[in-house]
Amino acid sequence: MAEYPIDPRQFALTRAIAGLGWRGTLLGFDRRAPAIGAAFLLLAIPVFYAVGLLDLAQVNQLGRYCAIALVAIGLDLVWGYTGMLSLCQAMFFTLGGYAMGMHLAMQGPKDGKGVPTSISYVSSEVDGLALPWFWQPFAHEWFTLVAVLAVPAIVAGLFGWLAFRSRIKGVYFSIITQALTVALMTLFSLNLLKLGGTNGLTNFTHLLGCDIRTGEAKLALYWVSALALIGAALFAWWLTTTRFGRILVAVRDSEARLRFAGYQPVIFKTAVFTLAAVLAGIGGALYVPQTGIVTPSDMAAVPSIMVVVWVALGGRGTITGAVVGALLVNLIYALLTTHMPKFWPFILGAVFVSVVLFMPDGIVGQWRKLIAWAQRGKARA
Amino acid sequence: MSTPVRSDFLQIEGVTAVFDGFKALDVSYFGVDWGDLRVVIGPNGAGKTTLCDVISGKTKPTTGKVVIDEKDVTRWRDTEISALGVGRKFQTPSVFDSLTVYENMELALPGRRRAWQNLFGRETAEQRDRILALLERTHLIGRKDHLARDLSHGQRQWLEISMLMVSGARLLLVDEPAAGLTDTETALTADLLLELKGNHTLIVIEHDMEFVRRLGSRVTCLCQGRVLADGTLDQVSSDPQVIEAYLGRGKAGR
Amino acid sequence: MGTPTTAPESTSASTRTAASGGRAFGDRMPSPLSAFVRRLLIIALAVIAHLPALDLTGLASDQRPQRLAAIAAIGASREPAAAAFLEAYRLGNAFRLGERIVLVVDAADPATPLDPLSRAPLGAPVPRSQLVELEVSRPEIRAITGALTLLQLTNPDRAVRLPAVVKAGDVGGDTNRAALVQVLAGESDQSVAKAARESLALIELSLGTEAASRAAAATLLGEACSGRALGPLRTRAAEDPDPLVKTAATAAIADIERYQSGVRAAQTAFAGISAGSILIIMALGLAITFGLMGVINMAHGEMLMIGAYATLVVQWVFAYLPAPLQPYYFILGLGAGFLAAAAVGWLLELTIIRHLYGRPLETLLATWGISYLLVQTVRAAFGDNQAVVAPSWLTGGWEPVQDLVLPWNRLFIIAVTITAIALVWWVLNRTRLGLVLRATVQSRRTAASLGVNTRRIDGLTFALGSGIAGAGGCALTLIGGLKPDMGQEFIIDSFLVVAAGGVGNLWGVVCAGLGLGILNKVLEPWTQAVFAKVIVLVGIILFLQARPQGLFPPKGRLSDG
Repeated sequence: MAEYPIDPRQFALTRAIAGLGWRGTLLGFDRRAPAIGAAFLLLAIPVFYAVGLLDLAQVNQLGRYCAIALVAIGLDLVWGYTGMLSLCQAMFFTLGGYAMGMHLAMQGPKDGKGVPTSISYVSSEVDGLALPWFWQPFAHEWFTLVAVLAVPAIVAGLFGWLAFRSRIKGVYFSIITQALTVALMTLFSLNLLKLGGTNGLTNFTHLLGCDIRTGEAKLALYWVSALALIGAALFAWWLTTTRFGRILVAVRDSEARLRFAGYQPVIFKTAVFTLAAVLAGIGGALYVPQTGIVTPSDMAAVPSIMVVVWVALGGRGTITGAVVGALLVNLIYALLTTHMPKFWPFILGAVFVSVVLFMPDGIVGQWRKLIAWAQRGKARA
Repeated sequence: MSTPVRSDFLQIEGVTAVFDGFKALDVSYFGVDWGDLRVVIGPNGAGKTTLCDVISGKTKPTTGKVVIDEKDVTRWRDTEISALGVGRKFQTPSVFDSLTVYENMELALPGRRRAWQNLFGRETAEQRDRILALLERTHLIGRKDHLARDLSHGQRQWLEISMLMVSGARLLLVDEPAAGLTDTETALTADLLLELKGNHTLIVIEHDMEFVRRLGSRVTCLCQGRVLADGTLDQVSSDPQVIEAYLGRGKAGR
Repeated sequence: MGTPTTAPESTSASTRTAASGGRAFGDRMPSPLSAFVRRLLIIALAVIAHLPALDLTGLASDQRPQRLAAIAAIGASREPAAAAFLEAYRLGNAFRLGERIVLVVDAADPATPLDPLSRAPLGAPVPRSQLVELEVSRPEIRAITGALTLLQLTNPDRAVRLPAVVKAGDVGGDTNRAALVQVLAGESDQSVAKAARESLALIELSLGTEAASRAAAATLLGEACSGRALGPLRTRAAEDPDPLVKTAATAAIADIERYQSGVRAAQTAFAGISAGSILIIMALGLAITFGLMGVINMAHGEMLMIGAYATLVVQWVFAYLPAPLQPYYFILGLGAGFLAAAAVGWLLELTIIRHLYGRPLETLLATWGISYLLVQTVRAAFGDNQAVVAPSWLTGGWEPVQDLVLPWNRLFIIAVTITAIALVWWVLNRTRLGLVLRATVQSRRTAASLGVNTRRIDGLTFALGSGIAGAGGCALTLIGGLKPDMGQEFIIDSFLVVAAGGVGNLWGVVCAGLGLGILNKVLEPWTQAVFAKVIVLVGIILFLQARPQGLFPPKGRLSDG
């Protein structure tokens, strides 16, 4: 059994739990927490909606947060397990979002020449814009699906391979990824790229023949997002239990040792970076139909750092931590921005600094310490 | 300098390694026979670690040739050299801290170096037995499910040596295995290394003369990047050049 | 000679011309003292400028040739105040009142007659019936236009004269040619004379009747590397009936274009150096905190911002000081920027970064949080988009060769950067602080055992790195507005500079900063600014492929950390 030091700050809580004889309950909850969470997302939320405890906007909001949480899972694999702090995960999210957005735009309102309004409005061409060639395949669902997966994968694979091969690591990797996302954002803001410029893509109406503005479609998108989140979490969890997962941890601990043990860290790093990008891309593709817009500013420096905040607060190095962090921070954000918008930036900054300083293992890390203590107590009893 | 004996497993010929105009290594010939254990001693900055770096491919030599098992590996990459069967134990113990002892051993198992090979399947029963037997031998069996970061310094040294042993490496580069160990730990480490002799080729770098004596093997003394003397410990330690090298820098070295 | 001095001098002219109005002045004098001063000025100016007496009486003549001659005389008078009179004359505001010429600008009846040059009221209002309007028809107007041009061309103020000379050449025409010839004869200022010759050649190019003279004009323009002649020369090269002129024009065009591409290259290089120097000043601080101490400070950009806002505050404070002192706020601002940023950096190190040494990724996150907090705090305190007014002594530019203008503010930034580089080099290599700092960085324990207070050294080093960024922020106010998130723009680029230059390497940082700045500016005209950024980023990644250790890699066995 691993030894976790007990944090004195927890004494009051732990004593209370011991006094009430909750030790067993606590352990039971810990074992079942992921299943409880999944059941809550899949069953309880729709039921709450059905009986009127939640309105459609709130379900839609939750659906978006589920999609966002996919990015956090990806970052957790890359940062929490492999130790590479990527500051461009929102870029992969947005790339997936753009792929989906292009498909949605092709299904939505168009001008006389069959060009989606998102790009024909911002076009400066005098006699109207002809539909660019790279837009055309996005009319097909299957191509879009492939693009959602492949575009982030190719960008991540190529960039990752180049970066890891030249042994760019640590903070250098962080800085370069941030530079990458900012560069791509400025690139996407150009009208001549024919992706809607700074306004991005919007005016989405239909997906797979359904009107996405209806309540049923929104509920369905929520279900898909929740399922995707659970599936991704299970997949990521499985991955960490394989030897592949242990090699990722080995990369974090000592890359040089791993190299002299005959493994090529570059391959593993590129692989996990690409996987995280694909997860982010799927998240983006699910997010965009629920929010109705995708713009270049989604890949500014800040959104990527927000993903880091989620994972840091939730607890890096645990899949549960990533999911908890993503959902929690976003819910707090939604709550605070409606009730006291002026304070949000200050609270965010303060949370950021204090998590790093005082709670490096995040919420789940603290929870684990509590559980370790409960287990020891049980072993003694 | 003694006449070089023809050695067949590892041969280093005319190797120099120059950093910023400073010649860290300048070896005209250094060879080790198959199954032999060679101890490399020398004062601080003599180029012992650089020698290991050059053999394992971490540092590319400025001039000269490195041959392992009749293959010229001078320009090979570190992972390629590792795949040839060259294992290394670093000066400071280097294990994967956040993995358990058993998982550390598992990663050191030979084969399965490609990414997709690591997604499915576990080690075979035979591999498992080998790991457990080795852990038994190094007194780590009781801690096999502990994280490596919770091990003591000596245990980490043994874990690293155990990983080398399980990896099936043929040439082991062992950098200061006895540093910071207690006397009993040192004795066990020496026994482990002697056990490997015969089935593996070993190069052991060490400062601790007591430890070197216990290994009782052929010794090469490096100084300022050059081979100063070569032979049994007694021969080497009575070599006037060696004495001067150590005493001349007596205040800095030991 | 500015406008205030023209009034008394022109009164002297009118006293002499309008004899009957002699009584007008004395009783209107506000005080005897000013009358004395005025008289002194009149004498002084008449002596210094050798001004010809301005005779307006000819305008009252009923003979057109005499009127035209009078107008021409006014044009030749070099009397700046006469221009305003001629403008009024052209608008029909000039009248004859008895023997005198007066101006009447209001529509009232009776109207107040004004002195034509000083515009001082001349006695009591007179009924309109006594005023006789001076005739202004086509010939007069043409003469007035010519006279006005000549007046501008001979304006004693060089800042008025030079553009007028240039404009005369661009507009062309016989009047201008005549005026320019006249000007050139009496011009003493070298650059004005050069411009006048150019203008004359330009006019000759289009008006010259002889092919040889046109060709000579083209050659002269080519030799003068006159940029404004390119258009007319192209027309000549294409349309001139004479082949001789065509050849000369083509040769001149080639000369001018060669010169201009040289100037453009110099201008691009300067813009690059100027952009690069901002990067360098940011990266210098980073080279200390990141390169030497290994602390990654994402709030480094905010140190720049704090320096800029400190300058703003200093400017506000200076607004309460006597006016002559105000332009010098900037010098104090530079120091205030340095100190404010250094203080914040020192606090930051003391409270947060100190606890995170050896954990770079955590430091990155915590300092990013700090950066976010700082931006929000400044936004709450100052609001968005403030601006510092650049001091008067830093406006304008320096023109070392023709057409190459280097703005003073950018030169100043470069100077600040050079000073900062020198300062950092000196501190690191020539002071005890630098020695102790380098020792601490290399072996904290050894330094501590030798009695070095390593914690204090850490704080001081961090404060120095931050302070340099603060001074950079102050310099940056010269070329742009203040925004709470102004530092964010530079932070990534400057980290790239440090990465490309090699960690902890001063010259690497300087070279990489200049290289990046110049590369950006060189690429900008071809591609768009955005593409330039992307290309530079890709370039850096590829560069790091080839040289992962940066421009000047450290060597040795410790290098592969």
